[in-house]
Amino acid sequence: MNISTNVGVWIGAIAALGIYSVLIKDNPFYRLVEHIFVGASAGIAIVTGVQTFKSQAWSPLTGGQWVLIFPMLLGVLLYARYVPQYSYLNRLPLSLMMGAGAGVAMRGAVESQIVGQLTATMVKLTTLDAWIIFLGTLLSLSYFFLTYKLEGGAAWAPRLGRYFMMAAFGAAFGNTVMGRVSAAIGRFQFIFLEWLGM
Amino acid sequence: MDILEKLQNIDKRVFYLLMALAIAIPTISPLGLGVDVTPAVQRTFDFVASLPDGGRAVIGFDYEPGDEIDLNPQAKAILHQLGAKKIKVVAIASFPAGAMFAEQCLAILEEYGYEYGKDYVNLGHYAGGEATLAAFANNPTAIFAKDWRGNDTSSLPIMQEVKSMKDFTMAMTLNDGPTGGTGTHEWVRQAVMAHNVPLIMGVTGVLAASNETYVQSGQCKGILAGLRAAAEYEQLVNKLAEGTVGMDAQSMAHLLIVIFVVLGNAAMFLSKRAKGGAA
Repeated sequence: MNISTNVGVWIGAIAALGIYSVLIKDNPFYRLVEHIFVGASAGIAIVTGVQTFKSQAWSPLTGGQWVLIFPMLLGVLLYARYVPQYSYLNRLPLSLMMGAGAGVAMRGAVESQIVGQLTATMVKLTTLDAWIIFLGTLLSLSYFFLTYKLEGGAAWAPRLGRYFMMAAFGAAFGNTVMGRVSAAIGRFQFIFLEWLGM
Repeated sequence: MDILEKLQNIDKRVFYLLMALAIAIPTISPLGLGVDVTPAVQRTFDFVASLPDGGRAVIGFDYEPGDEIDLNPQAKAILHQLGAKKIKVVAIASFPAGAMFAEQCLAILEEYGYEYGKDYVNLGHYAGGEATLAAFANNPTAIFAKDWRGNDTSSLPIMQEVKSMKDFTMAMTLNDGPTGGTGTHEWVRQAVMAHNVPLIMGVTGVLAASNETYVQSGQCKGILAGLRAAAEYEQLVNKLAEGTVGMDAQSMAHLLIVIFVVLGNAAMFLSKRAKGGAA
């Protein structure tokens, strides 16, 4: 064992143990670490926010891009919501943000998320994969066919569609579990390899 | 309480302890179980290999602490391949911590003789998500006046070569979701749809299924999902590192989960059948 002498590593390891201690039961050590985490996260967000403001707004502004004064003023208006008599002013930047956001997203959304995805389901039915994509799409869509209830012989379509979706949910859940296990592995590697030097 | 009921009511702390052991033992003493390369990872590797040497790549470090175990190994593995091909790298980050992860990972490029500012740059964090990414795609230096290290970006040789997204040979997003940052859908819209730049994704396991559709539709050239993909990529670039080390623990943890799922369900069905028989 070659235990780390880095203070930061020690703090990180003790904090990790504190967070994991909640698995036994809720305790003051866990709550202390949790509060420190929230505070540290807020602090990092403020520092990064200031850095981003300097890099993307203040430096260009003082460098001669005076037009940036207008978005900066709009940014300040976002905080008008904290002053009741002027709170209506924050609607202006919010409206602009929503409009610009929707416009930017629309630029590729139709093609990437509708046309492109639909085209990908129109495949030559020469392989099992192609059949699964084709049938999975049709049957899953039939599950959301809500105009009237499919009954009798047609009722099998939404039922099969539900099975296709359940298989997809299972795959998604499996991947989620893998992601959570990865997070635990990361902490264990940190504790055993970086902190304890095993 | 009979065995079937006990199996359905195991104290969750027993499971946590077994899970901790399943992860800790292979971490301390690797089992060397090995990993096969899957077609999805091979396809991503082949795509990057097919790019001309000396091109330019933009990489979005769009993730926060907690997901670096999946995405840092992916980033490092792919940077080895980019480094070997002398592809210049521009890093951006839609999450504040992403810029710090970029700084850690980009250090790998110095093994390949890369020079900061000339062959690679870390532009740092940007606020505003997709709208800012769209603006970056039109004029990168207008968004990042300074890089993460405080240099004037217009003075950096690498940024003088980049006038828009079209100047990149490929784009990549290392992504843990759109909440608070730029998601994979946004990258598809702004890099692929708006500028026709080939995109690859490195995502956490959670996002794998929802983004696989972009690969099947051809809108995305490749996808790396989770720690396993990182381990596979490390094999392909012949640089075994954190991804490979973590796979033994991943396999043992999954085995434990499968055992518990099977035992729990079997106990439930047998218990129901027994109760039905008694009635």
